[in-house]
Amino acid sequence: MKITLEALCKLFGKVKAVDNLNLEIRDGEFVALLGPSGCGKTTTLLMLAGIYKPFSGSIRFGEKVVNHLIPKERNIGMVFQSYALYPHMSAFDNISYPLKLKKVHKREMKKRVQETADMMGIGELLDRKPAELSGGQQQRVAVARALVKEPAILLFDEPLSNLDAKLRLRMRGEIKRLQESLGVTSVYVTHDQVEAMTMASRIAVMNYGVLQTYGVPNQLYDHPDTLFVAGFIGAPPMNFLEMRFEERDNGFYLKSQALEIRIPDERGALAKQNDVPQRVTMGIRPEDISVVAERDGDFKAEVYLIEPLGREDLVTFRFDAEEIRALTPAPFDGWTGETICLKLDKEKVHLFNPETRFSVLKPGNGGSS
Amino acid sequence: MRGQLAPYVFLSPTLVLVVLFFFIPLVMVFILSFTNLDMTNFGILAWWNPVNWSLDNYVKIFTNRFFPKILGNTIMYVVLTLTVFNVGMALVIALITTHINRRAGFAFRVLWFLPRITPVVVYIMMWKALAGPAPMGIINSILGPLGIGSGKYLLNTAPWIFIILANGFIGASFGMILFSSAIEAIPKDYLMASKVDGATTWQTIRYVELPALKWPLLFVTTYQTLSLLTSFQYIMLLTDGGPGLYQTEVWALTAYHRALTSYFGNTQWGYGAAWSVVLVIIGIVMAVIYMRVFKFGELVEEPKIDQL
Amino acid sequence: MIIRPKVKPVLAYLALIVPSTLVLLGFLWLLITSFSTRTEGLRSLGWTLHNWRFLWESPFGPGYPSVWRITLNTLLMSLIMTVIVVVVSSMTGYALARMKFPGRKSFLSLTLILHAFPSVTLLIPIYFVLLWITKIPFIGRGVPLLGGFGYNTVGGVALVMVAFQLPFGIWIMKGFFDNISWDMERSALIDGASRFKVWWQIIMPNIKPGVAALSVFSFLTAWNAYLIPLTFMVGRSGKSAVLSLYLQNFISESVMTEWNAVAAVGLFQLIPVVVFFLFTQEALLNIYGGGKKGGV
Repeated sequence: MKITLEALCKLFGKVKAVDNLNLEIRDGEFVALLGPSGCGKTTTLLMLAGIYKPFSGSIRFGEKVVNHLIPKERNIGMVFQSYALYPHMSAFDNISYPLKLKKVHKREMKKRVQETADMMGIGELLDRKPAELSGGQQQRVAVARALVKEPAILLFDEPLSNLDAKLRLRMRGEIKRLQESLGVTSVYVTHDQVEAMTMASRIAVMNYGVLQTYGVPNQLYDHPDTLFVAGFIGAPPMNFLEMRFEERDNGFYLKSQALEIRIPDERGALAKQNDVPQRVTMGIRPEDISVVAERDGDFKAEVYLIEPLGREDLVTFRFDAEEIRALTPAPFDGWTGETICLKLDKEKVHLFNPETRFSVLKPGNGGSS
Repeated sequence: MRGQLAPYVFLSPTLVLVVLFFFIPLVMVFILSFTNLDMTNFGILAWWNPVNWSLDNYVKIFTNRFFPKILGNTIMYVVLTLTVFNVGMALVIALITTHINRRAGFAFRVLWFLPRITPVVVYIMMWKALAGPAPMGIINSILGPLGIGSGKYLLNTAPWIFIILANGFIGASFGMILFSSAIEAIPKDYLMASKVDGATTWQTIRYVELPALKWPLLFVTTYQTLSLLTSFQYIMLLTDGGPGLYQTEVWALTAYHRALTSYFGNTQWGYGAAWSVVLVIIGIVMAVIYMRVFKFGELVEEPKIDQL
Repeated sequence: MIIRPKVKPVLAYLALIVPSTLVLLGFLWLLITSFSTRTEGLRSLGWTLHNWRFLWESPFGPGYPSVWRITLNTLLMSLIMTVIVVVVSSMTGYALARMKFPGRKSFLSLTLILHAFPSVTLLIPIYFVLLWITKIPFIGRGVPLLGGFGYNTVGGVALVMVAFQLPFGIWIMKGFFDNISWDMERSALIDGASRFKVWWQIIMPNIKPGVAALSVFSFLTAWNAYLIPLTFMVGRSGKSAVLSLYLQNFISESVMTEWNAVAAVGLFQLIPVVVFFLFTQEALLNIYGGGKKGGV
C-alpha cells in the first residue's frame, strides 16, 4: 500500500507539532522517521494510525484519502514502545484480540494466532500473561498482534527502545527480515540513527515538526542536506568547525586561525556555484580524520581524551579552543597531553551555510538561500 | 461522525440524572423563591406564573434581624469543622496510621470510620448520651468524680463544641481515607531514598509525603467545604438550632426550617426556597474560587486520542 | 535528636488515642446500652436481652416484615445503587479523562459544582420529578424487583442517591483513568475496537482497584442512607424498605421510644458494614489510585 502525505499539519494548542509535511512512501517500502524527541515523528505516525486527526493536509493510502477513517477502518498494525499489551489477557488473547473484533471464526482464529506466534518464536508461551513474559517476549507478542490481522501497513513507534542492547540488535535484524519477507509497507519511528540506518530503505529526518531530508541511508550519511542532518546522523557525530572560504591561485581554501586546507576543485566550484558565504561551517566525520607524520599533517592538536571502543579508539583532540574527535585504528599510539599531527580527508569535507544551515555542496541548494 | 457522538453516549446517563435531579429541581427552587407559596395557598397559587413573582423573599432574608447571626454561625461552623477535623484531624490520623504498626493503623482507621457508617439517629443518640447531664451523661459521669464540670447537659452549655465534634468525627473519615490512600500510593523508592539520605521520620513526612498530598488536600478542602455548607442533618438532630434563639442555626438549616417545618403552623416553601437559592449561589461562588485558586484546570490533561 | 525517635511512637499513639477516646466511649456506651435496661454513664443498671428481641419477633405486629427480610432489602438496594454509581461514574469519568469534546472542562467543573447544591432543599422539587417519573408507563412503577424508578420505589430512591454520589464517583474514577497508558488504548483502537469496547474490555479490567474502592465507598454510603429514603419511601411497604427506616419506626411509631432498643437496632445495622469494612479497608485504601497526577 502506497502512503502519500500532503501538506500535513498538526497543532497542539499553538504549537506546530507537524509542519507542512510532504512524504511519499512506496508500496512495500520500509521508511524510518528519524529525529530527536519532540520532533513530530510520533505525531506523524499517530496521524497515520488514525489516533490523531490532522489539522490540515491529507493522508492517502493508495489513492484513497483516509483523513476521516477511524483506526479500525485503516487496516494497520502498530507496535508500541511500551508494547501496550493488555495486562489482563494472556498472550493468546492479546494476539487474537484483533481477530475477535473482526469476528473471525474460532477455529480460523486459533490457527492464525498459532501461525503468527510460531513465526515470532513465541508459540509455546501463549498461555502466559504479559507480566510473566520477558521484555523481548512481550515485544514479540506485540509484533504478532500487529501482524495477525494481515495489515496493509505496519507502524512501529520506537519498538526497540525498552530492550537491552543485545536483544535490540537481534530484534532489529528480525524485524527487518520479517518486513522484507512479508513485503508490508512499514513506517518506523526512532530517535536512534543506527536503527534507522540499518533497517530502513529510506529515512525521513524531522526536527521541530519540519521534514529535514528524505533519502536512502548512505546518501544521508555521505551527502547530508542540512547541518541538522549532518549532526544527527552518524555516531560519533560529525565535527563542525567555523572556517573562512577563500578562492585564490586557482584553488579553493578553508582557513581558520589554526589550519588551512585546500579542498578539491570540483567541491569548491560547486560551493561557489551555490553562493557559498565567506564564513562557512565545515563538517568532517571522525573517521575522515587520521593521525599522520608531521610533514603530511594539516594541523597540530593536543590529545585530550582517549576512549577505546575495541575495534577503534575515539580520540578527542583540542586545538585553539576548538575540539575535534577522530576515530583511529586501535590501539591509539599516543598519550593524553601529547601534541599530534592530524590530516583531514578533503574528499569528505562537508560545507554548510551557517545562516541557512543548508549544505552548499548540493546541486540546487544555493539559489534557495 | 460516529466518533464525534461517542463522548455524549458515555456522558448520557450522568446527563439524564443531572438534569432530572439537579437542574429541574434547581430551576423549580429558583422559581419558587420568587413566590410566596406556602401551605395555605398551595393548589391555589399559580406559582409558575410570572405574575405572582416578586423579590420579597430576598428582601426578607437580608433584612431579617437574625441574618448576621445565621451567617456568622455558618462561617464559624464551616471553617472550624473543616480546619480542625475534615482536613486537620484527617491529615493527622492518616499520617500517624500509615507510620505505626500496620495492624494498629488499620484498627484506628476502622474506629474513625465508624461514625460515617453508624445510622444517623443512633449516632446522634450516642452524642446526646456523651453530653448528657449527670449522672446519665458519659462525660459528666467521668469528669464529675474528678470535680470537673457542673454536671449540666453539655449540649446546653456548649452546643457548638458538640456540633463540631459530631460533624467532625464523620467528616474526618473522608479525608482520612483519601490521605492514607495517597500516602500508600507514594512509590516506596522515594521513601527508601529519603531514608538513605538520613532523613528523620518527620523530615520524610515534611519533604516527601506532604508534597505528594497536595492534590488530595485541595480536593478534600474543596469538596468538604461544599459538603459542610449544605449539611444540616446533624445539627438539626442535635440542637435543632438551639438551645438559645438561633444559637446554632446555620444557613442550610434555616432553609430547611423555613421550607419544611411549620413555625406558626405554616411551611413557607417560597421563602425557604429563597434561602436555598442564596446558599446555592454561595456554594457555586466558593467552588469557582477554589477551582481558580487551586488551578483545578491543570488537572485536566488534554486527551491524547482525537475523535475522528 | 537522639531521644526523639524513641519518644515518637509513644507520642504518635497518644495523638491518636486521645481524640479517639470520645468515639470509643460513645460506641462502648452504645453496646452496653443495647444490653441494658438502663444506664448511668457507662454503668449498666441491669443486663437484658430484651432490646434485641426484634431479631426473633416483630415489634410492630405480626403483619410487619421481619428484620431479616428488611436486611435483605437493604442489601439489595445498596448493591443496586453501588452498581449504578460505579457504572455511571466510570462511563462519565472515562469520557472526561480520555475523550475530546467541546465543553469537556466545563463539564468537569460542573461535576464539582453540583456538589454545592444543597440536596435537602432540592428534595421538594425532586419529589415532583419522581411523581412525573411515576406517570411514565413501565419505567415509573412496573419494573420488576425494583418496583420502578418513580416515587416510593426502590429504583427511584436509588437513582436519587446515585445522583448525589456522582460528583465524587466521577472525580475518583477520572483519577484512575488518567493513569492508564495511552498506548494501550491506542493499541486497542488500532486492533479494531470501538471506544465502548475499549472502555469495557480493555480499560475497565485494568482499573479494578478503582472499581473496588468506589464500590466499597458507595456501598457503605447506600447502606447508611437515611434522609432520601425517609423522604421518598412512604406507606407501610415504604417504611419497611430499608434498615434505616425500620430503625426510624422505633422512634416514630411508638408513644414511648425505647432508646435501648433503638441502640440495639442501630448496632444490628452497623455490624454487617463494620465487618464488611474490616475486609475491604485494603481495597478502599486504593481509592487514591489517581496518585501521581493527583487526579482524585
